[in-house]
Amino acid sequence: MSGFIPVRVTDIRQVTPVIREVSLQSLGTALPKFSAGSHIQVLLPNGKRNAYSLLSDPLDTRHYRIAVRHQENSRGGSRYVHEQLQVGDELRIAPPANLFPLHNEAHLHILLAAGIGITPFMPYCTELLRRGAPFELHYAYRNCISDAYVAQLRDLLGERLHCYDSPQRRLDLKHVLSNRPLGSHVYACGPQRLLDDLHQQAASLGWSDSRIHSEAFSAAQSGQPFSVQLLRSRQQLNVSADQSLLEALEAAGVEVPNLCRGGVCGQCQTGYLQGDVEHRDHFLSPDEKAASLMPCVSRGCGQPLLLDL
Amino acid sequence: MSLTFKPVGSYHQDFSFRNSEEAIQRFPFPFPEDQYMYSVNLEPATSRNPGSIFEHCFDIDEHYRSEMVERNRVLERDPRRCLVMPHMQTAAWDTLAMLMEHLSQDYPQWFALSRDGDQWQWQNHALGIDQRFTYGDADTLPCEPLEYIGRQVQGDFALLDQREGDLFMDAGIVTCPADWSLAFDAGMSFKQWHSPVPMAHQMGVFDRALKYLVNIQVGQPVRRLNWTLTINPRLDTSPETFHEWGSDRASITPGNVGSLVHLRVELQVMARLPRSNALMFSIRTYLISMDELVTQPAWAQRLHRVLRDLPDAIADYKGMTLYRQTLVDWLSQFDSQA
Amino acid sequence: MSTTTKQLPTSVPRYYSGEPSQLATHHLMVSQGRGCTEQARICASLNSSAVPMTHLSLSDYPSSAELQRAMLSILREATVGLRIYLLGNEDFIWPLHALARVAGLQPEEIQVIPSASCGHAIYCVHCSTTQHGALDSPHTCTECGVVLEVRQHFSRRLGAYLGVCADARQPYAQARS
Repeated sequence: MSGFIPVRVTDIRQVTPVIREVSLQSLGTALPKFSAGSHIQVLLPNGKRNAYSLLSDPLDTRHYRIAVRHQENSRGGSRYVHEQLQVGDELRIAPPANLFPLHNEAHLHILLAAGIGITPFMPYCTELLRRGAPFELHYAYRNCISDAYVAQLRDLLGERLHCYDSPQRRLDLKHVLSNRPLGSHVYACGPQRLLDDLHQQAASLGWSDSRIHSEAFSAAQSGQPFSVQLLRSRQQLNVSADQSLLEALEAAGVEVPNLCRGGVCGQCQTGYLQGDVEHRDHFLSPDEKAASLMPCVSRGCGQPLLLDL
Repeated sequence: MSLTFKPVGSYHQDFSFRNSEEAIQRFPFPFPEDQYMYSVNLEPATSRNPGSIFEHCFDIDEHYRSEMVERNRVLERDPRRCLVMPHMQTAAWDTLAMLMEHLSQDYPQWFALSRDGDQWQWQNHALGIDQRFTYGDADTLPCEPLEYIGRQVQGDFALLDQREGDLFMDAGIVTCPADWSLAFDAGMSFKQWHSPVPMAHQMGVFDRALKYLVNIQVGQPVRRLNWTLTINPRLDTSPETFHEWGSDRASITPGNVGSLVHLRVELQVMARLPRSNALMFSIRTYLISMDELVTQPAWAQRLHRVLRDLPDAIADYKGMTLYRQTLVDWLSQFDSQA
Repeated sequence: MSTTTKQLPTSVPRYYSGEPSQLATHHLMVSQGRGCTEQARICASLNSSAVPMTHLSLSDYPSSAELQRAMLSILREATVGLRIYLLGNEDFIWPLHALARVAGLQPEEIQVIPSASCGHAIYCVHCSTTQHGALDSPHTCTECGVVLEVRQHFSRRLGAYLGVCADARQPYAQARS
């Protein structure tokens, strides 16, 4: 993975008790332009590398902004951002990539956000307003906990914004998806449960899959430590409990192409010849899992792993 | 290296196009080996070899004025060569921005761009253009943004909308295609518009290429070379005009093969358009006559072997079946082992 | 030039032979109205499902343009969940397909069922007109007169196969020497 961009933290804001917004400025030339829905990978000084949606205006290349929710079962990434990151710190980021783009043929964009899933929709709203494209945002959150940007969105969107303050008011997917005009597309970002419900509800209302676009909260989770052998480079690596296999490979100087670091994009697919795998991705088919794994999220268990690297 | 433009040469009728010594030296001879087979020969489009066609993302050379005259001529005759579907407006502006940014950075003696918010000023000293416009407002340009910038940059451009894990050819300006029609292929998916290419589908070339292309990131363009043969230095070898140029293939004799047969090489650059997430597919065409090519002995020898051993299906697809033997016989004089 | 189904070029459409979508909320069938077994079969299976079905037939309209207008007015009011079934020859179904796409239907929500053995649509790349003809023999363009070889390359947008000058040494049917 080439072309990391050095950046400095220029601002940190506590947006809600559990969500921090971080502004980043390039130390060199202007930051790359990006499209709504893009994310960047942030390389933290503690060796963790996570992907975060860009929430700033795609036209603003002086700053990038991201928002990070404190995860209770953090492997160290979100905890570092919340407890240690300071204004003035220097970090490196990977250039933007977009695994959750706007569908350019859509006539009506229906956006569904749950909690921190609001982040990719911030530039969506900016871009759709600029294009004059019809859209609406349905936003489910817990008041005073995960209600980032609600006031700002209310000013920006007016009647386009529909709020669901859990548990008082629930997001009713059937209601949102019923009787929609033919050119409608729906986009969702939130926990896997929301996405599963969406797919099920949409299918029962006759929505074809190509109208449904989703991005899961996906990041590596901790597990048991394990060890791997690399066939071609003849190395043996130990992966600690809160480290992903991908991070362990990178720490050993073995670069594997990757974009999402959450088991969905398929870029880091790696072959293995021996060993037991705890597959945690949403990409590989059951057949493929017999010989491939996604090192960004999946881990070894039982018999030691031998990777084709 | 300072860039100067040749007087306008033509790509039709009298075919006065010729390469200078320097242009021959920097010609992208596409064969790394003595035989040719399809491959996903993509590499990062990073700058290398100053003065070569690989120095800048969008190469401008001595034929710039000639090619712009040719583009205007073809567009006047056939406006279907430029097409932008309604959902590709953002991508068209993205393309204009990317080309203006690169040209003004890479060739400051010829192009200048100044911006104040969405108020832009573009100067093209090579063509005597000084245009102020509002970015995003097509009414402030003499024509649609893709056509506007396309008339000022060498090479063809196809803009591919990315959706549902596929690429769709939903916009483009194409006046020098190697036998494909934008008007016909518009709207097709990646595998659909490659449908006529023989053998490669079964080899899985397009599956691998598509997987790679949909993941190209902003600022990380890739490139490849492709090639075919063309009779006369004719840029517009489109199906639209095939009834005008197709018969040239029957005119090749041992006496004229050196001056009429041209190797045609496409430098294809694929870049992510940052605002629209569309993929720009630029196709920059270079022509060299056999007489010019054989001034480089290593190229002459290798081309002889490649063409001699080329599978018939590929030779047929590239339209050389009628004159292939004449050409191979002629080239054999430059192959020490022939 | 015989092409088996297995080797069909990637641009050439695979026509519908399956069953109506079970999850649709509404079916719309538009037919050219020449009764055929295929139409009767699909009509019967659509009618037998619990989902409401609308049927437009060309025979009920004075012209194709009127039928297209009727279809568009249905699509304007329609909601996600609609599936469309287009029956007829290629000249009939593909313009309707294009209208449905512009109206916001996804490609997989539109099924096209061509009537058997009634010719194909051919696009003359030289004068950009679409006309009716056969795939396996040269076709003389009714507009510009060029004799066309019809290639196994199909555009859904134009609803036609690509026709390109068959012999550039003699582009036109009558020898002009």
